[in-house]
Amino acid sequence: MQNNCSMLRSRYIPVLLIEDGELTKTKQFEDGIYVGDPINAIRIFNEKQVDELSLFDISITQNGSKIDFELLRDLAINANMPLTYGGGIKSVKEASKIISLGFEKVSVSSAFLDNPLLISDIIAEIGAQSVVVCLDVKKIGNEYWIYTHRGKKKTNYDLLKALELIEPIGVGEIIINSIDRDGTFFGYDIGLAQIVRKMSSVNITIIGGCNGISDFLELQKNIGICGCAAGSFFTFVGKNNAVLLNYNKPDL
Amino acid sequence: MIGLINYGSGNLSAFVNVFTTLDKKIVIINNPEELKICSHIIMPGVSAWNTTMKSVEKFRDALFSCVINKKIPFLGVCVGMQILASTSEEGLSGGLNWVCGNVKRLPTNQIPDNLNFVGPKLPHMGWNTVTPNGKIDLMNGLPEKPEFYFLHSYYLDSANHDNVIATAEHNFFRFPVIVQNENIYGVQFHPEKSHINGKILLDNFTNLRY
Repeated sequence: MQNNCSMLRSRYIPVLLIEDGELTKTKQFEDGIYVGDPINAIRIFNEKQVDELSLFDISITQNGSKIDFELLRDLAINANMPLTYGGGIKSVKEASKIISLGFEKVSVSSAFLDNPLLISDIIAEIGAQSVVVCLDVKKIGNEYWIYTHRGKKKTNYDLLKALELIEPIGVGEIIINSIDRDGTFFGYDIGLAQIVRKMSSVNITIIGGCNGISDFLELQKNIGICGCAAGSFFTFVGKNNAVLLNYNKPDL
Repeated sequence: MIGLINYGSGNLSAFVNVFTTLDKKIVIINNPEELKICSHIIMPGVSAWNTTMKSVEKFRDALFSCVINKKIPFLGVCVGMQILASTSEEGLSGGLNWVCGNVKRLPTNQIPDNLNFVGPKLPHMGWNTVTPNGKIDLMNGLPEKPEFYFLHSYYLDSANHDNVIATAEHNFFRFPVIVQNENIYGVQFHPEKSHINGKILLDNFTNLRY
């Protein structure tokens, strides 16, 4: 059997979505509902000593608005854990500024697909370890396609073509976000995770659909993926999906 | 007063946050002359080698005076540790040359073939255990092998074994993660993002006297 999990222990990563300065949670990238204040959420996850935290501002690329650096500064000041930010990054200068505010990693999505060379420029400035490419993936028939602009804009890239493009650049991490599973609690798209692990030698983090600790274990033990991310699973509890930020994860 | 060097890259805010909760006085150092008022100096780092060395240049003389001549305790973090070395494979400019050695890319050829390992090898990203070589001041009050957060692909290959005071292992390769040369310390991991363990380590650093 192939042993394709890293020698490091798995990372469990809450993912928070920001829209106009507030936390939101979507279902299949639609119908965002208000789930709280981002600074308050960071403080709660500090207490829970989370492995990492990822923040995505989902309003920027779609609305063509500017990155809210003031908010990012406030978030970073309050964070005791490693932070990743994604949303609307289009230049080396923006990426560099976000790192200087106190984020460990920046995640680029649509700007990378428009201009792959941008990633090499960002790597030269801040180092490959801090550069993440996030792919929003939707299944159409038997094929996986990459979308941008909050799942509204289909790109010319299918999953394999996108992974081939990323592989030689040497980014630190790829986040694979399943649009179909987002907020559904249907479990991770294991088929998708399998393809990505097989086709890429980069650190992979999967998000979309997590419904329990057994889903984390399946990603690690069966697929060899060490980055286990979740939004709704760390945001809601109980049958009625009450908002309660939590950090349910396997014992170390 | 603990001085945090602001050289354009590196996350000062996380350090500010930790020291505020520890009730320690800090000052952000924007100009070399401000280093004079510091009892302890911290050089953070999240960046590539060339970017870092370029921005460190203006602090070089003042740092030499404080750290080498006056023996003020100094802590370099991540790439801030790497620049203590003489040279780096990640860039062309020379380092501070305070800890004899060179910065190299972490090797990935130590993984046994029979493991059939096809997953990611670099960067070294995530939580790993740190093993001290004996009892060290910086790790007072920590568990025997504490976990810290790492995010890097290069390491400081110390030429002098005595400078290596703690190590970690990745891809079956053990490498220095805390180095020390008298009052000069470097840590490869991010204590400012390592929750309680990082807080204890930073507290220990600010209690050092030379």
